[in-house]
Amino acid sequence: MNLTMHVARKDWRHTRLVLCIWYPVLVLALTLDQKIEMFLDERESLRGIPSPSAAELEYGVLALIGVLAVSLDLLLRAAIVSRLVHDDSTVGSTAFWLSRPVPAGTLLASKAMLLLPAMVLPQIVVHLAVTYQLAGIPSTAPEVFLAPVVSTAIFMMLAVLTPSLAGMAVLGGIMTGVILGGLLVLSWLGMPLVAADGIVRALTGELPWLTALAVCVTVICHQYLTRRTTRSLTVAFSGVLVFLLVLSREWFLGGA
Amino acid sequence: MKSIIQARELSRRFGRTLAVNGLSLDVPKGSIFALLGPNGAGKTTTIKMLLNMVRPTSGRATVMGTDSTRIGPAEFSRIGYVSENQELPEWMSVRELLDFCRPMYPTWDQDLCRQLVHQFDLPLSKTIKSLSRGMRIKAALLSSLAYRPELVVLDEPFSGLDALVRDEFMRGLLELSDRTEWTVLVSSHDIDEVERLVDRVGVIDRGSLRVLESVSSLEGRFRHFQLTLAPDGELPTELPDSWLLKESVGRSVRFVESDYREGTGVQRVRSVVPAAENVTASPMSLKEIFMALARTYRSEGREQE
Repeated sequence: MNLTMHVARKDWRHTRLVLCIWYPVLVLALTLDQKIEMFLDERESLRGIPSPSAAELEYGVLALIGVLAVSLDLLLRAAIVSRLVHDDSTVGSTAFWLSRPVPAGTLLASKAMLLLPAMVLPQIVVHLAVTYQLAGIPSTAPEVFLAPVVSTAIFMMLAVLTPSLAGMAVLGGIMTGVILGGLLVLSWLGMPLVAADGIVRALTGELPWLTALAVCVTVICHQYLTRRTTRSLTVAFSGVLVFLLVLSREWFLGGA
Repeated sequence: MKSIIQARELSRRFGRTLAVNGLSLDVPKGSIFALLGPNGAGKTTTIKMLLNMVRPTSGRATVMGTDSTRIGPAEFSRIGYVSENQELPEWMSVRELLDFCRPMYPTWDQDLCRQLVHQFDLPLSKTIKSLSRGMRIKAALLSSLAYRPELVVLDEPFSGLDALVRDEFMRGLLELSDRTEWTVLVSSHDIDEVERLVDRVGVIDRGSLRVLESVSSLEGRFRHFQLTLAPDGELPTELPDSWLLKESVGRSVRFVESDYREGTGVQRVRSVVPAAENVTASPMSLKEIFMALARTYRSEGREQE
């Protein structure tokens, strides 16, 4: 436990500056996201009545800043996870910790110990605070809790399989490509996009995200404990296939 | 003498490349052992296999009595490892690096640490990324020696260091060796770097260990021979395999004898080359021996290709 805390303290010293830059960006991104959502809801309710041009303009500006803030938020989150994980890389044989008396499990625990309170919790708290501030009631939807955990786990999975932030971006791009390709294949096979058993509806459920979380946790633990990157990559890409199967389960079962 | 490292038929393949090929070696406890060989010979892969940083494709090794594939945190609290390729936490200052390492080792000796800081003239407040290469290696060495490891593994530590820094580094190691019961395994492509330090040598070439013996035995069995052939004399077509780097210019012949025996060495040359006159045998330095071996292995490699 002492060594876990010791490594976590070291990581905190190295990531605190980026974390401090990220927190205001997170607040801005979630606030704008919520405002844009409210604006779209409002516009939906005023369908048929011409919208005032000033409101349209405001929406345009909000949307633009929102896209920038969300992009910056994603970039900073990737940078934080990259710094945290790549400092003690699990890829290759040159990392400092490999020749030091630091058990892999302890290292993983120290990373989780920092990521949960410093990255996941702020996302949940800010989301709850923003929705309460703007809508009057805090959202209790499962995705409020699930999304930060899953997104952080995805970033961490990409980081443990690569040696750098650039590597993370490349692997993330490839995985996104595989998922999009899989969705295209599913739609080509006849799976509808928005019907009850369609892709969009399936994505709003909890099961695909819990599946993604399970895949990420498996890959992260496997890579930390074995450092067999090829095998971990195989597990990760197999997980992508499982994720696609989970997405299409209702359609498959319905058609069966 | 008890071996602290034992490797048997250790091999590692990377795709089609056989980086280490059936390597067997013993490093006696308490010795200072140099693993020598040209760049790409397989020194780093061997060391990484011994320390469980790379898995062997076949063969096995034990380090301090533990199977090398099971080397873990418990063993690393007794092993000091410094490599030219090792990543260091660049953002830390030297002081932060030492503070980070200290709690990991129950045997950390703060007095020794202070003494080494002074001896290596390390600036504690400077970040590692701002240090020169020499200083960086010294910081890595300091963080690997202050807990008095039983086994110190240095992988090409002197590569790219200037002579002064190398000398300071070596002097530090030698002084500590006088006072500490440890075993040192040092790899290098340049014998000059480690000649003063070592008492046992392994020479590795294209993944295979070609020589494994003490420095004194090596110096004893290598001689540089020079002879002149009688005016009507000729060099026999069949010469012993132990004669390396044979050269003849006119009547003058030179070669390196790799199996010299004190007392009978010159007589043996006369019996092989009856036309030999003025036979002289001169001792060779470790560097000359290493160079002779390296040139022999290189020409063997060319013949095989």
